Amino acid sequence: MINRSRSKFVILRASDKDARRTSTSNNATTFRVKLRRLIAPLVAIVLLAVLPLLAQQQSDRAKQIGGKFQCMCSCNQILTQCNHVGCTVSTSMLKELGAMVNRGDSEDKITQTFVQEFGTTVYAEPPKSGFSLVAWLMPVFYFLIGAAIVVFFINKWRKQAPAPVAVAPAGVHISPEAYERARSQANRDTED
Amino acid sequence: MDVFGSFTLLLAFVCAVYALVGGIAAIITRHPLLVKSTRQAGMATCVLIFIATFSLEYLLFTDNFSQAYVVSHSNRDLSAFYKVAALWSGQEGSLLFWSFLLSVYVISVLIAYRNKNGELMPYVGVVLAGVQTFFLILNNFVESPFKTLATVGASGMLEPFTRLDGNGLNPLLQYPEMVIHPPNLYSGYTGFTIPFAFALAALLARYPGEKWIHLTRKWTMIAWCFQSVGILLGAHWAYAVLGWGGYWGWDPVENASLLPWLTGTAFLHSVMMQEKRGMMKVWNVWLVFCTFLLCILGTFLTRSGIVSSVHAFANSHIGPWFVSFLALTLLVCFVAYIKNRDYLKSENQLDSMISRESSFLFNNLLFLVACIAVLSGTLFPVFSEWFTSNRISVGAPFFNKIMIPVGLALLFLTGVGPLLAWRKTSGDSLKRNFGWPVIVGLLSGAAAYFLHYRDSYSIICFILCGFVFGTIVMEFYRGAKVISARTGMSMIMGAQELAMRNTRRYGGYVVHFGMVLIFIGLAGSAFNTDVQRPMNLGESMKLGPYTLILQSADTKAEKNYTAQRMIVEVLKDNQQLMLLYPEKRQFQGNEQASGTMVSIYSTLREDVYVVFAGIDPDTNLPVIHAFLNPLVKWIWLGGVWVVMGTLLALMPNRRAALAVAPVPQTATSPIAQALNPSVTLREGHD
Repeated sequence: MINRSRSKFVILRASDKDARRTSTSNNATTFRVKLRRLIAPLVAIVLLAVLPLLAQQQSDRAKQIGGKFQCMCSCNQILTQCNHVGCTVSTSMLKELGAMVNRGDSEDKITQTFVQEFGTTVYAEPPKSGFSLVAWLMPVFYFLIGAAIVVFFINKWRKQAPAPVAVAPAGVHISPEAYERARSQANRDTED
Repeated sequence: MDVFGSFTLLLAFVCAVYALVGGIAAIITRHPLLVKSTRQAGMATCVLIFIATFSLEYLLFTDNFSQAYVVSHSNRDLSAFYKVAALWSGQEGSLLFWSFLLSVYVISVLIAYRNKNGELMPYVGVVLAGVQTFFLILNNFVESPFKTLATVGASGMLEPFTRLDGNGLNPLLQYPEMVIHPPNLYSGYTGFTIPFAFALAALLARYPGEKWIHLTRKWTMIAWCFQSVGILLGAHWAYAVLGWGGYWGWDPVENASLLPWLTGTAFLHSVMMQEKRGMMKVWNVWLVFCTFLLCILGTFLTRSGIVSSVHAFANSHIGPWFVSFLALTLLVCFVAYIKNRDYLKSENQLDSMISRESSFLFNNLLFLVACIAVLSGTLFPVFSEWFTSNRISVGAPFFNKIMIPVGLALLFLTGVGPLLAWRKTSGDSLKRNFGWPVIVGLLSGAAAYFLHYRDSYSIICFILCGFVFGTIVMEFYRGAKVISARTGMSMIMGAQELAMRNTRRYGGYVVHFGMVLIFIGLAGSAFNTDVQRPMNLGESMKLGPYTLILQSADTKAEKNYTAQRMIVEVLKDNQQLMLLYPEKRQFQGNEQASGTMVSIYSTLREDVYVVFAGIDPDTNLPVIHAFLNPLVKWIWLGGVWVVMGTLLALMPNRRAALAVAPVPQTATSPIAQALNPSVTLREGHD
């Protein structure tokens, strides 16, 4: 009996535990459900907020990378700016670029893919390596050479300049020819 | 009429050859009759070219579809306005138009100087005849515009054939500016032939002094003005028609037009060094030579197909002709220079590094660097193909990176140059002259910053624009103040009187002011934004402070095309500003021929630029591409000022009324002061 009762008790206790466990479990479930109910909209809100940002980020990235290529329809325009009527080339190139950006491909990989597909004419600006580096260095080279020539000539011409003539004292007499020469020099210096 | 046109062209060629060969003989023999007859031959050449050009226009206007050129570039529905433009829309016609414009210049020069400069003019005539002969060879034997259509008849013989209608004019060219842009640009290209002819003639004839420069000054300015207007109109056409939201894409054809402009501008500045100080004679002669050679090179690049461009002419076989002509011209210039270089001995003396002369030298350096950088960038794809067998493109980002710093440095010199005196500028003068312009520059930079134009290059540009504007205002103010004090005129009338007394100098300042406006417009391009998306009717989209609502769409049938038109309402702060009508045109006669018509709401602050970019294939909705381009209008306004400044500079100086009054005698005689070359009378001016 005792045993029974114990067992009952035990049973009772056991069932109590069960009941408690069930109640805890029910609470947990409720909590989980509540949490899920709470998380789902939260996640949705976060996704709604983040996805456009991600999309915007991807679109910006596509725009930034696309700005480094030319449309291959021979219009010489930047890929992202080509809007020729019926230009199928830029449309397909932009789609391909978008797919690669969405896949998370690196800029190098995207560049390689385009160069393999279209050749080096796809670059909007020459890469700063190999023979293309010449294109970048040339203007700097011209400027340096030109500046050196200008400075050289300025120095040379300064050395050729006569020493300043002292101001003639008051009342000095000059010939009409000298006056005319000086007058024409002054005119050349100050007029027209 | 085609046979007539063809015959007159051939006769023009014969006359040009006579003017060339006879002219050389006249120079050698100095026979007056031969000199006169070659001059007459030169004029006859021009008249015959005029007749040939009008013959082609007649064929276009009468829809003579037995002519290949008329079939390719016109149709019955084409309006008279565009039938005029059809003359230069194709390779053959545009080369004839080149000859036509050159003839206008040549005949003007031959008439204007018929009784003057007897020693020089035979040489000038020979050089001009040489250039005309080259173009007439192309007109007659390489790219004749008078080709009759023919088909193989039943007898197996070729028989004339007439089409019912033509293919029509390229839709991209059916825009009002296209009727005035090419003539302006070509007038620039051809106009530089005149200073070239005088420079080469002066060198060959060892003509004394700087007279050739005085003779060609106005011709150079006219050519430069046409070139500037041509470039700006081209930019406006690209902006309003191509629909990509920009005005300058560094396309090879655009670059080709910029090259002679850069060297021509350098020449217009450095020529003052020769006039005033007898300096840089060799440099000036070679600048003129290079400008002309670049005009020919530009024409060659546009027509040979050596560089790809959306608005170049079709590939043709005229490349070798142009290369040969370029090589021959260069050879002639070089031989003339080597033989007569002692004639170009300069009086090169410089008193100080800080002087007007130095600023001109650096100005020329920058123009030349810009020119060579643009040229090498344009030709780099060709070079890269030669050296590496890979064609590497050089597009807008490259040119922007190189040219923006160069452009800003040039803008800086535009402000500094007028403040420096010839020979030497003292420290006091620097302080006095630079004070206000620097303050105006800094204020401009601050204003730009507070107006949210926050980009480093743009801020620098605004500062420099303010600085240059300050210098120009100071120059006018000082001069007007003196006139106003002496005559009692108002300051505004004084400024006007001042400009009229020295038109070249103050015209130059007005041109500089125009360039300031252009630079302000260019600075705005750093802040361009755009939105593109398919739109339902009634749907709206935001573009900066504006709201664009697609109100409706309609179709408009015109004589030569059918336009699909979107009606877009522009609102700002819920206030309706205006309706924009971007459209897409489908031209008749050619199913492939379609064009865009951009619609722009333009203010001094910004342009709302709306393009109907087509129908989205997925949603079947119209795609609207809208751009917000700040400050673009300033560029076109700047162009107007550049033209006004050039026109002012072309006017003769008004003589100042002399007021005779007793001059008090001072301790130092004014005569003695005038003798001292290191003292300038108006330091910081001119």
